Amino acid sequence: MAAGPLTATDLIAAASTSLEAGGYSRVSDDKVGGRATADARLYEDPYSVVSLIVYEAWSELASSWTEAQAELVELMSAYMTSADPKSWEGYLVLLTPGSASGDEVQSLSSIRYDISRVRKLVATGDELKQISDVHRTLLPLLPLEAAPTGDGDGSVLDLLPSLLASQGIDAGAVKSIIDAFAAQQPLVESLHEYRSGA
Amino acid sequence: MRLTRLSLNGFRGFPAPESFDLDADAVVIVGVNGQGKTSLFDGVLWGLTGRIPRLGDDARLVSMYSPSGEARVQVELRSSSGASLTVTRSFDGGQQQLRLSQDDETSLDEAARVKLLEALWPDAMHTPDGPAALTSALTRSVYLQQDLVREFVEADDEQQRFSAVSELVGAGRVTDLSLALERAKTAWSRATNVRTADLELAQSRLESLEAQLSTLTLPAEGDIDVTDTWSRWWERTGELAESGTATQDADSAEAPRLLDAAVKQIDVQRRSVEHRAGLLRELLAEVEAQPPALAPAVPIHELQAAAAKAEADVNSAREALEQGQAQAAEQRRIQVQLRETQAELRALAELALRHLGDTCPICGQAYDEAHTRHRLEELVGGPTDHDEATEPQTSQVSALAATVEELERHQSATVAALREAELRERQRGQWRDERDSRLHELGLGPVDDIDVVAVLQQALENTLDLSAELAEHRAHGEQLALDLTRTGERARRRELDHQVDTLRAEVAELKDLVQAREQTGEVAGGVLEGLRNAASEVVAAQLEQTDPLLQRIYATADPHPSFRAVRLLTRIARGRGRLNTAVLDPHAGLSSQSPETVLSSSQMNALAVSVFLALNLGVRTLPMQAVILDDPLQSLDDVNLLGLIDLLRRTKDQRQLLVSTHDERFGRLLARKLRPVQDEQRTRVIELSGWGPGGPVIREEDSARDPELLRIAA
Repeated sequence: MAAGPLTATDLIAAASTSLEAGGYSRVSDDKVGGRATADARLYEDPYSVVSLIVYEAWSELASSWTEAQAELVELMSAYMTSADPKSWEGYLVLLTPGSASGDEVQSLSSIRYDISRVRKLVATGDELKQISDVHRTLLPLLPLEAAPTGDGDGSVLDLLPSLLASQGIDAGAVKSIIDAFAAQQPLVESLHEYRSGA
Repeated sequence: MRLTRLSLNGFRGFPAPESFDLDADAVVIVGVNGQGKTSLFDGVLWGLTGRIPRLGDDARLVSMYSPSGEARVQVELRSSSGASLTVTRSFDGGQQQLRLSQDDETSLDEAARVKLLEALWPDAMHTPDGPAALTSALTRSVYLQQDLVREFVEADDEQQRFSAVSELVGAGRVTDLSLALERAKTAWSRATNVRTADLELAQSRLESLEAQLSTLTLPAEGDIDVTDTWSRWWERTGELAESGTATQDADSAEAPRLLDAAVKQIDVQRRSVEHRAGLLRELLAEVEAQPPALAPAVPIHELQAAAAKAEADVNSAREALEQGQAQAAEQRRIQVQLRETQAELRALAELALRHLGDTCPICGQAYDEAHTRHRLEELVGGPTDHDEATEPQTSQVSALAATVEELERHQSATVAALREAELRERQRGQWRDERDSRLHELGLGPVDDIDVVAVLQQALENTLDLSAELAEHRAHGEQLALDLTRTGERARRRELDHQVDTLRAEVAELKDLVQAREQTGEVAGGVLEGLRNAASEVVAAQLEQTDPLLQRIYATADPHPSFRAVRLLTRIARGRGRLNTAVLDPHAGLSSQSPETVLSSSQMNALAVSVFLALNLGVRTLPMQAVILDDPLQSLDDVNLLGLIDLLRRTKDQRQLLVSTHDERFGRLLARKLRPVQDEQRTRVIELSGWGPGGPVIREEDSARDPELLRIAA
């Protein structure tokens, strides 16, 4: 099936998947009250509360986001005081498959730069071409995944076998040399043993 | 490794001893400028590396208010396995001292330096200046210094940036590996050459053996048993020859030489026997051909008697002659004397006649003149020749002389005959002596003349028989030698066959070995060639691996509404890597490798921190699993500030995070944003204020954990 523009359903589904995979718990609709719609969901993790809303069109987003922000702040106020650290951790994720053009782009930037009450993550159909674009938009809210490390573990030499294999050099031969180098064993003898099948 | 405690004394902004508990997932250091935030982080860098490049020499690190005039820093760390490491570095104004305590073992200075590198970043040990490499790694990936935030992405040229990242990712290890492999390949080639020389030597030996083998025409099989022949030959040798018997067996290595010597000895003996036969034959011929002239005609004793008689006759005749001659001489003397007296008297008479007177004219006496005259005249006229009286004597002497002459001739003839006889007798004696001597020499002993021929004939017959036997035995010896040699040649052929087989196997094995070694050398050469640009390619690959993380981090910070992607662009030109940072607008298809031209100062800071964190989180080998950010939030607008803080909050889940800020408001924001959310997490807040000659006023506290993690969703 040919991939077409993402729909609002695509966006809400992709965003929900990313958030839940990032450790967020979805707040049940009954707690959200009147805000619970097919295109609006509320998530929470130990750090923050995220209100995800998908609009069918940019114009709807532009006209409704302030209301959504107010509802989020109101909801959080119902559950925490201003002294609670999380009371400052509200995020409003505003998505739409629609496009912004002309002055609308300026409006979009204004929304993004407006951090007066909660931080806003905004994306339109101009940016959301594929599922990964949704995930990318949510990255500020998701955990980082670093390369595996340890004390003294790993070496760039481990990259060599596959790197040299692209030049037609036997990866096993390269690995035998690297292993010998790490073990301070004779390099070419180790290669010879590898080639001899020892 | 993560930091657990830092103690400073006399170091930069901390003249008095201070100790900070850093054993937390996040440490937020808050203080206005000049309170010691950077000094605290520099303490970590200096403690671990002994240098702070941006500040220069160590003298500038000593606090002017240090009571001792010394700077001392102690950094305590803990590994992921729980092992502790304490690094104590001090500077007394002249030189540094370093002490390392690890697992209850303490080492000092150079030994401590080596152990520190081993513990923190072994890759640095393969660089010419380990501490410098460690410093570079720390400042590129762990400690982002306030002054160098943006320089990290915009100040260095592309080669320097690449070089810095190369150090960070440990690409020097690739160069080390390449050098080590080159050395190993050279040594391998040398050793292979030795084996090639061995192979050539073995091949040469094989060719030589095969050539020797080709000259051996006898088949390997078909040996003759020469043992009996050998024994019999030597037994016969003992009978015939003067040489002894064999002392070795036929199959001994000495057998040919002994046989050769014995055959030669027999030949010598045969020639000696033939020589004897010749002598016998010659002597026999001489004896048989004795000349008759040598037989004496008259016995010598008769000749000797005749010679003696003739001599006696001569002697008698000579005596008679001598007597006759003496008598004749006396008679002639008397006659001479008489003639002299008569002459004198005649002279006197003639004189007196002239003077004859009455008296003597001399004495005056009277005399008878007539008588006197007569007398005088008789004297004057008396006979004058008296020779007739001697003639009979002369005749007699002549007769005697003739007799003597005749006898002497007879004697000469007799003596000559005797001499001739004696000569012949001597010659005959000499011949006999010579014959007897030759007989003696021939071992025939005294032999009567009459038996000589028979004895010689018998001896000659015996000698010729012996000569024939010796010749025959010699021929047998030669045949034996031939058989022996053939047996030896067969044995030699079998030995050569065995040696050739063994050597062929050895050559084949060596060929395989050399071929395999050469192929290994070629593979090593291929790997070596592949490694030439691998250092740069490894860096590029490492950065490529880091790219998704960088995108993620940059997107997390999300500093720019359009340029929402960043790439670390690497390229390799003339074997040297180059690195540029590019920002991209994916939707407009725009990009810039000069981010400073499209990003604001605030956005550039966010980009620099993003790249820094990407390297920290993306590089597999780090000196410490920590991120130290010295006041990165300066010049950030609100949205970028929040974006960065959100990024740091996620970073602390992966790394120990130490971050400072000069803004108290930001400090509170950080403390809240970085708060612990699990029981085992800890966030430490250090406030520095009121700096004086004794240092800053320090207040430390833990950030409170939210007791109720989920408020709405719970």
